[in-house]
Amino acid sequence: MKKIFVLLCSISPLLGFAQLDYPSYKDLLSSIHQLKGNKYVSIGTIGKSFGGENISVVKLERDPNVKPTLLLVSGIDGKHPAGVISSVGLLKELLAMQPDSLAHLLDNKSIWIVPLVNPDAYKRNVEAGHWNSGNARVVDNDRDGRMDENPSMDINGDALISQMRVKSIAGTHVMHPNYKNILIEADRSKGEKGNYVLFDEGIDTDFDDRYGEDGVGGVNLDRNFTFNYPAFYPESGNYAASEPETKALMNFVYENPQISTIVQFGLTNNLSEPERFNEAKANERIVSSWTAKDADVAKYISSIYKKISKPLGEPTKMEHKPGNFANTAYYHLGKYSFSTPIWWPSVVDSVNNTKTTKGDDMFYQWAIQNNIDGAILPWVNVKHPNFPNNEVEVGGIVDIYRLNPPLAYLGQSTKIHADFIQHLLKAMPQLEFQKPEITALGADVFRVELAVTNVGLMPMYPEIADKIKYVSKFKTICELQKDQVFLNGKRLQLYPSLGAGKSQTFSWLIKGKGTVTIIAGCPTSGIVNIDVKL
Amino acid sequence: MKLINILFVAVCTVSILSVANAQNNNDAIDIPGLRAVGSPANPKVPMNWNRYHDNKQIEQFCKDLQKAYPSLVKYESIGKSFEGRDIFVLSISDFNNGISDRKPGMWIDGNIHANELQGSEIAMYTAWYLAENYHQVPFIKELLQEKIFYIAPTINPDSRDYFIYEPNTMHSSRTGRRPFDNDGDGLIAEDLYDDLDADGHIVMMRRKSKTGRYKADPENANRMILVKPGEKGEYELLGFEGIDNDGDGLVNEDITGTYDPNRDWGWNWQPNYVQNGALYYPGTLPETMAVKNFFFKHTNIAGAQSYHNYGGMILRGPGAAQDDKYYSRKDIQVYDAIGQTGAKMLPGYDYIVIHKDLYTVFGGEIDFFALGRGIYTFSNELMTTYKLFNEKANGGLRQSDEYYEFDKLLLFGDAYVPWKEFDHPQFGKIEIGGAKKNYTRNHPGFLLLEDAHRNAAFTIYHAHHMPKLEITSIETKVLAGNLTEIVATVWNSRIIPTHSDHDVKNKVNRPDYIRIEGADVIVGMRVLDKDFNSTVEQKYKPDQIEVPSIDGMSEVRVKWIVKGSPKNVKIVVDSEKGGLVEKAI
Repeated sequence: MKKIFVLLCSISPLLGFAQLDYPSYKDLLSSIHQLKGNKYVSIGTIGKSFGGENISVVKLERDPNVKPTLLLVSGIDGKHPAGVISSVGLLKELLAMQPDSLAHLLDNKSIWIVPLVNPDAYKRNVEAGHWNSGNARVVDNDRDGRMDENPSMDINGDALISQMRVKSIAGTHVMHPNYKNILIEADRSKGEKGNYVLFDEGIDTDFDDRYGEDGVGGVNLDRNFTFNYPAFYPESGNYAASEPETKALMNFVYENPQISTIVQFGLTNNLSEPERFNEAKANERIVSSWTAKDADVAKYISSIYKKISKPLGEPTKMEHKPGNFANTAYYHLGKYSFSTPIWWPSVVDSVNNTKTTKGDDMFYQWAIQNNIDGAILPWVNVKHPNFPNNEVEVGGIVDIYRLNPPLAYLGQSTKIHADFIQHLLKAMPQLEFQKPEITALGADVFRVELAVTNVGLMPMYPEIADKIKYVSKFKTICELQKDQVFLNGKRLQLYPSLGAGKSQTFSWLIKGKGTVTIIAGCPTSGIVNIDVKL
Repeated sequence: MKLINILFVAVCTVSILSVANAQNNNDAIDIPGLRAVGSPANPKVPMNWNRYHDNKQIEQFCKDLQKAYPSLVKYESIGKSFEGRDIFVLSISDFNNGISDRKPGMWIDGNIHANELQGSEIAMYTAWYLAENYHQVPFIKELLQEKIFYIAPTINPDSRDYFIYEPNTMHSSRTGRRPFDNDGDGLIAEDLYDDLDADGHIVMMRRKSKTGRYKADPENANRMILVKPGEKGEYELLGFEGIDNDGDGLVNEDITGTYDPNRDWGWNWQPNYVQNGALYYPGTLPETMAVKNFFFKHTNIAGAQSYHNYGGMILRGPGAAQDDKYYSRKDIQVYDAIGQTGAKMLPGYDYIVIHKDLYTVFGGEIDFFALGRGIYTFSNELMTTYKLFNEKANGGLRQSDEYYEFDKLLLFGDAYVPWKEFDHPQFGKIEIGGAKKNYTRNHPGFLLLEDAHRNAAFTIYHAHHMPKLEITSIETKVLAGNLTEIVATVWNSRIIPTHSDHDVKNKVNRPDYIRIEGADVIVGMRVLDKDFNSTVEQKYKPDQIEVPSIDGMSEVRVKWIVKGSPKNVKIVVDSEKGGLVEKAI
C-alpha cells in the first residue's frame, strides 16, 4: 500500500507530498473497539476531552479481581501519534500471543492501556495533516488578547507545514554541508556567516515578528501536569491541571490504587537513559530527583529496556519538559514512571556497519536513505507578504517525521515494546508468606511470628510513594475472633514499601484460642492472606 | 404626613413597615437624631451582626437583600459544593448605571476554612452596608456607580453547616466534606472525633497522672498550665475528645477532610508531602473550581479579599519565598499604600507578608488571585487577642491567659466547658473540658459588629482605589495634506493600575485598548513623552492602540493621524480591569 502511494506521488507531483499514512480518527477508534471480542478485553472511559470525545481505557485482565496493574498511556502530546498507533499495535501483539502464555501473563497482574489521552488532537490533526500538540480548547497562545489570530500557514499549497527561509545578510543559518535541503545554524565561533533566516512556514499577520505563533492547537496536555508546571508558557494552559484530560488521567490513577507502574509512549525517554539520584535535589522541600532506591530500580528496568531495544539503534536523547506527565506520574502520583518515544530514526553506516551518525544528522540520513516522502522537502520559491524585498523559499524539514515514521516503520518497535512490557510485568512485585511460627506460651497465650517476602524484582511501590498521602501503603491486618485479645501488637499496622527480595517480619502476642486471619500487602503488590490456628 | 412618618419610625421596627415607609419616601433617609453615624437606623433588611448564620440563613439574607434593593443587589449560585449546596455570590453595584460586569470588580470571600465562621458575617455585612447606605452616603453611591462588588459569604458551605451542627473543635472542620483516606490504610474516614459526653462540643481530655506535666491554674480552673522544670505535675493531656475507632492505636487520626481547600489553587501548587493539606491537583474540589471559573469569566475583577481567622493580620502574598521574584518594587508600593492604611483602620492588625511573617503556603487562593490572575489581593486574619482588652497580648498568640480572663470578666464563663469526669474505653478514668468551638478563633458576639465594619471599610477603601479611568483630553490638530492629528489622554485617578507589573511582564490579561471610532486612520502610535515627541508606532490595527497598563495616578497618551477632518469621532478606552469609558469629540 505504502509503495503504491509513494509511486503515485512520484509520477504525479501535482498531488503534493504524502501525508503520514496513519488511520483516520474513526478508523482508529473502530480498531480499538474491535478488540472487545477478546475474552480478556474490556473497554471503558476515564473521562471526556475538552472537545467532548471519550478517553478510552482498554483493560486486559483475566478476571475482574483487582490485581497489580501496569498502565500504558500514549497520545498525550498531539505531536506524537506514533505512540498511539504503537500502543494499539502492542495490544494486538499481546492478544496474538499463545492463549496459554497470555493467560499465564495475566495470572497475577493486569495491563491497562489508555491509547489516546488527547483525542481532540488526533481527530483534528489527522484530518488537517498538520500536527499540533494541544486539545480542542481555543487558547491565546501568545497572550496578546487575540485568539488564534496567527496560525501557521501552508504558503506554497503543498498541504504541509514545513520551514521557510529568507535570504538575508542578517542570516543566522547556512546550508548543511551534506544535505542541501537542510539548514543548520551558522557557527559564529568558527567565523561562519549565515545567509538565511529560518522560520516555520507561516505569515506574521499581527506584525509581532513571529510566524504562526498563535494558531489552533489548544493546551498541550504534556505541559499541563502538576510537577514543575510552567505558568505563562505557550500551550501550558491557565493553570496546572486546568484541562479535563489532565484531571481525568490523574483521577484515574488516584482512584485505582492497584496501578503500580506507568509506561508512557511519549516525547520523553527515561528508559534509554535511566533516572539518576541527585542527593541535593532529593532532599529539598520540593523533591526533584528520584530517591536513591527508586533510581536503582530505574537503572535495573533501563538495563532490561536497553537490551531489548538494541535492534532499534541509538535512541534520540529526550529530556523531561516542565509540566509533563512522566515526571508527575512519579513525583506526584507516586508510581514508577517510564517513558519512551518507542521509535527513533536510526541508520546503519553501510560501509563500516558502525553507527557513526549522531543527533539531527541521523534523522536526515534516515529520511534520505529510506526515501521518506514528505519528511524533507526541496526549497520552493514563494511570494511572502512580510518580505516583499527578499527571496523567500519554503521547504526543508517537516518536523512531525522526526519521531513519527510512516506506519511500516512502527511494526518492529511495537513488537520489541510488547516484549519489554512482558518483562516489566514479570518484574513487578509479588508477595508470599513464609511459614508462620506459633509458640504456645501457656494459659492460652500465643506468640505468632510471620514474615512476608517480596518475590518480585521491583519494590512494592516507589520509595517516594511513602510520602504521598493518597497512595495506599503496605499494611497488615490481624483479625481476631471475638474472645481473643492482643497482648502485644495491633490489629492494623502500616509499613514502608518492601524492596525486591526483602522480607518483613511481624509478631503478635494473642490471648485466646481460635483461628486468626492475617492479611498483608497493598494494592500495587497484591494482598496475601493466611489463616493461623491457635 | 411627616409627623406620621416620624411616628412610624419611632414606634415600628418591623421590617415590612419600614420598607413601606422607605418606599413612600422614595429613598430611606434616616432621622438624623436616630442615625448613629455610619450605620443605618432603619435598615430594610434588619440584621443582628452579633451572631453567626448557617447556610439557610445566609441564603435567606441574600434573598432579602436582593428583594429590598433589586437595582443594587443580585445573587446567583456560581456552582455546587461536594455535597450539592449552592455557592452564592452577591453582586452589589448600581445596575442602572453602566454595564456592571465591565466595571472594576472587587471580590470578597469568606469561610474557605469552615471553622473560621466570621468571614461570612463580615462579607455579608459589607453587602448589607453598601446597599443600606447607597441612598444616604454619597461616597457609597458613587462607589457603586463606578465599581461592582462580588461577595461570596461562604465558599465552603458543606463544612460550615458541619462545623455549626456537628461535634467539632475550634480547629476542626477547617476542611471540606469530601472523604479521603488520610492515613494510607485503604480505609476512608474510619476514625472520627467522638463527642463522648454528647454535649455538642469536642473539647480536651485530661487524665490524672503522676508523671503528667500539667496542672490546673489555681487562678482559673478552666486553664491547664505547664509546670516548671523540677515541679511535679498533676495531669497529662490526651488531646481532643475521641476514641480509637479502628484499632490502630491512634485516636482521631482519620477524621473527615484533613485536607485544606486553601491549598487547592492553581499557582505554585505542591503535593501533600511538600504542602500539607493539598489534594490530587489544584482544583480537586468543586468549591475552588467554581471560584476559579468565576474569575476567568469576570476578568474585570481588579481587587480581592479572602477572609480567614485568626491573629489580626492583613496579609499579602506571596505564600512561598520562591515567588518573591514576582513582586516587583512597583507592585509592592501599591500593596503598601493600601495595606498600611488598613493597619490604621484595623487596630491590632498588622500588615505583613504570608511566607515571611506567617508561614509558607503553596497552592493558596491568594497566590492564585495575585499571581495567577494579576489581581491585588489581601487576606485578613480576623480576630486578635488585641481586641480582648485593647492591648497587645504579652506572651504571644497561643500562650496568653487573656482568653481566660476575658471569659471570666466579660462572658461570665460562657466560653468554656468545665472539666467533668468520664469513663473512656481506652484511657480509663479521664476528665473532659476546655474552650468551646466558637471561642478563641471566632469573635465573641459583641466584638463582631465592630470588626465587621472596620474590615468592610478596608475592602471599600481597597475597592475605591481600583482603577478609575477618565479621558481627560482629546486634542486635534489639522496637518498639511488634508490630514488631522488626534491625541487622546487617559488618566487613572486611583492607586491601583489597570495591570500589575507582574501582569504586564507575564501578559496575564490582555492590554488596554484605546480605540478611535468614526475616523479613517492612517497611522496610530503610543506617545511615550509628549514634550519630546517620543512615540511608538503600532502597525497592527492602528485604530486600536494597545497599552500595556495605565498606572495608578498616571496618564497615557495615544496619537492618530487620520484622513480629512472627520466629524463624530469617538474615543473608547476598553480595559478589562479598568472598565469601559468613551468620549466623543
